[in-house]
Amino acid sequence: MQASENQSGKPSGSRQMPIDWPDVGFKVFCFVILAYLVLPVIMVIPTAFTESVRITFPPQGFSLKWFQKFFTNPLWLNAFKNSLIIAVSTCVISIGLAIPTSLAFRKRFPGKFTLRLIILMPWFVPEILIGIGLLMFVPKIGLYGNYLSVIIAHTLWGLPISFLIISTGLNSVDPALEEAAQTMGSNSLRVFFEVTAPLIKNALVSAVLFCFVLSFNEFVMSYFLCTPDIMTLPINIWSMLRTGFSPIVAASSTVVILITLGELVLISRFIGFQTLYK
Amino acid sequence: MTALQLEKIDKYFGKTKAVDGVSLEVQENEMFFLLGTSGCGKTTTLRMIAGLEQVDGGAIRIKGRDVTRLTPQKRQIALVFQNWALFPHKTIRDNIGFGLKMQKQPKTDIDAQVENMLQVVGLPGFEDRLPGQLSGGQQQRVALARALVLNPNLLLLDEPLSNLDLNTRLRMRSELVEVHRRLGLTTIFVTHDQTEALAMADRIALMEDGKLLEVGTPHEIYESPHTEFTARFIGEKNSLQGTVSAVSDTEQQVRFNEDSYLSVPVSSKHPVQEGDRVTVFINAEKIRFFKADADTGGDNYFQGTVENIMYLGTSNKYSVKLQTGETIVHDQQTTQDAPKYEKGDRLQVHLDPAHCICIKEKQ
Repeated sequence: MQASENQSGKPSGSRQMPIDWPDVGFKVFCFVILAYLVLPVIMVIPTAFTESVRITFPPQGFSLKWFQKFFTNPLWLNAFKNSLIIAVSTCVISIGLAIPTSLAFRKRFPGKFTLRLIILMPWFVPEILIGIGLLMFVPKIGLYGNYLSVIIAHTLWGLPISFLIISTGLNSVDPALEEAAQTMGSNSLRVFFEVTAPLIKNALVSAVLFCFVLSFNEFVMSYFLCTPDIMTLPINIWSMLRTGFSPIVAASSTVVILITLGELVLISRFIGFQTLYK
Repeated sequence: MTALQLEKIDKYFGKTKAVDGVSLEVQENEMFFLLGTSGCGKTTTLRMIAGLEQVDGGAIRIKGRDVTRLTPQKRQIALVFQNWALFPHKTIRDNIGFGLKMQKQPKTDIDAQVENMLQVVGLPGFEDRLPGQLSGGQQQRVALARALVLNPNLLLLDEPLSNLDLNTRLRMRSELVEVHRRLGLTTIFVTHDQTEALAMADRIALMEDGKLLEVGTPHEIYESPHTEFTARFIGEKNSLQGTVSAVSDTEQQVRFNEDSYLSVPVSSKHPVQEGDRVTVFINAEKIRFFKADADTGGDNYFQGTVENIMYLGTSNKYSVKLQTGETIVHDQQTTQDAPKYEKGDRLQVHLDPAHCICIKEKQ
C-alpha cells in the first residue's frame, strides 16, 4: 500500500486500496457455503409465525398462535416434558459414570485399551443397529415403554462424549496439585471436590450441555423405543409431519432450534470449542 | 532422635529398579540433602517418604512410627513440589489454609495462622491474591508457608528452587536456611544442584542409579569423597591416571610415566597396593602455579604450558598441559596479587599431596 501511494503521488486522503479479487472471491465462496449450511435450519423459523393453517414459504402475515397452540396442546406439552426428563436424566447418569471412568483411565490397569473401545463403540456404531439391538433387548428386561429404556439408550451416546470431554479436561490437570492435596490430609473424595472438579469445571459443564443436546435431539434410538407414554419431541414432530404439515410443527421445531442454539452459545462461552479439538 | 529411617527400600518401575536398597537415617532438625543427577532415584525416594509411591520392599519409619503402608494424608509430612503445585483456583489464604481446613479447624483459627505464616515468609497482606498473580519467588514462599503451617514431622522439598532465576534462587537459599534454623524442622531436600547442597546441607546423601553411594557433611563430600563417582560429580576435580609404584607406611607413589610421579599420603579410606591402577583427583582450586624458573624442588611439581584461559569474573580458569601429556584445570581467583599468565606461558604446577585423593580404579 505504501508503494502504490508513492507511485500515484496522490495525497493520503484520497488513497484507495486495490481490490484483492482472489480474496473477495474466497470470502464470497465461504459465505455461500455457510448460508447453505445454515439456511435449511433457520428457514423453518419464519414459517412458525405464519397466520395460515398450512406451512408455506414465504409465511403469510405474523402471528404467535402456533406457539400458543404448542404450549397448550397436551400432546405437544407432554412430548416436550418427556424430552426434558429424558435429557436431564441422561445428563446425570452419563456424567455420573463418565467422571469415575475418566479418573480411572488416568491410571494403568489391565484391559484398559479394550475397555476404552467398548465405552466409545456406541458412538461409532450406526444408530439404527443400536436401535434394533435395543428393541430386542429392552422388552427382555421389562423396560419397554419405560423412560429408563430411552435414558439408557441415550446414555450409550452420553457416556462416550462426556468421557472424551472430561478426559481431555483431566489431561490438563497437573497431578502434583492432587498429590499436594493428598499430602495435606485430603482423602480422594475431598481431593476431587476441592481440587480436581474446580479445575475441570469447564469440561464438566460442556459435557453436561453436550449430553443434553444429544439426548434432546436424538431421533433414531428413541423412535425404536417410544410408546405414546414416553413420546419425545423429535418423535412427535415426525409423527405430526406424517399426518399433515401444520405450522405447529414449525413452532415446535423453532423451540428445539432455540434450545440447541442456546446451549451452543453456553458451550462456547464456557470452554470455547477449541478445548474439544485438543 | 531419629526423625526418619529408611530401611533397604526398593522401587521398581516395570522392570527397572528405580531405587535399590536405600537405607539411611535422618536426625531431628537436620537439613538433609538427597543429591544426584536426574533419574538417579532421589525424587522417587522422596515420593516414597511422602507416600505418593508405594515401596516394593523395605520399610519407612517417621519418628519411630512405621508408615510404610500409610497413605500420604496419614503421614503428617509436608511436601513442596518442584513447580510448587499451588491451587490456581484458590486464593493464597485458601492455599495456605487448605491443610488446616482438612483438619477441620475453625475458620478464625485458620485465618490467624495463615496471616502469621505469611508474616514468616515475608508476604503479609497477600491473602486474597491468586497464585497466578505472584512472581516465581513469591509462589515459592507461599508453597513453603503452606507446608510449614501444618507443623509437619518432616518437610520434604523436591527441587523447590530450580524453577527460579539465579538471583531469586540465591536469595531463597539463605531464606530457607534461615527459616529452617528458626523453626528447627527436619527437612529432606532433593536437588541435582551440588552448590545448593554444599551451601545449605547439614548432611548430603549422594545417589546414583537408584543406589545410595555415600552420606556425609558437605565438607566430607567435597574434600574426601569415598567413591570415584562422588569425586567426579562434586566440585570440579582434575583426574590423573597412574599406577601405584611404591607404598610406604605414610606415603604412596603414583607413577604416570618413566620420569614423573606423584606422592600421596596413605589414606585409610582408599587402601591401595603396589601395581594398582589408580585415579588421583585434585580440586581445581587447590592447584598452585609457580614460575617456570622458580626454584621449587621437591615432589609433585610438574612442568606445563598454558593452553587456554577462560575469564569467569571471580576467577580465571586455566587449562594447562602437563609434560606428562595430561591437561589439568585450575581456578585462580582474580585477586590483584595473583600472578598473571598468558596463553603459551610455561610454568610449574604444584599438586599438593594433602589435597590429592587417590582412588583405585574399578576392574
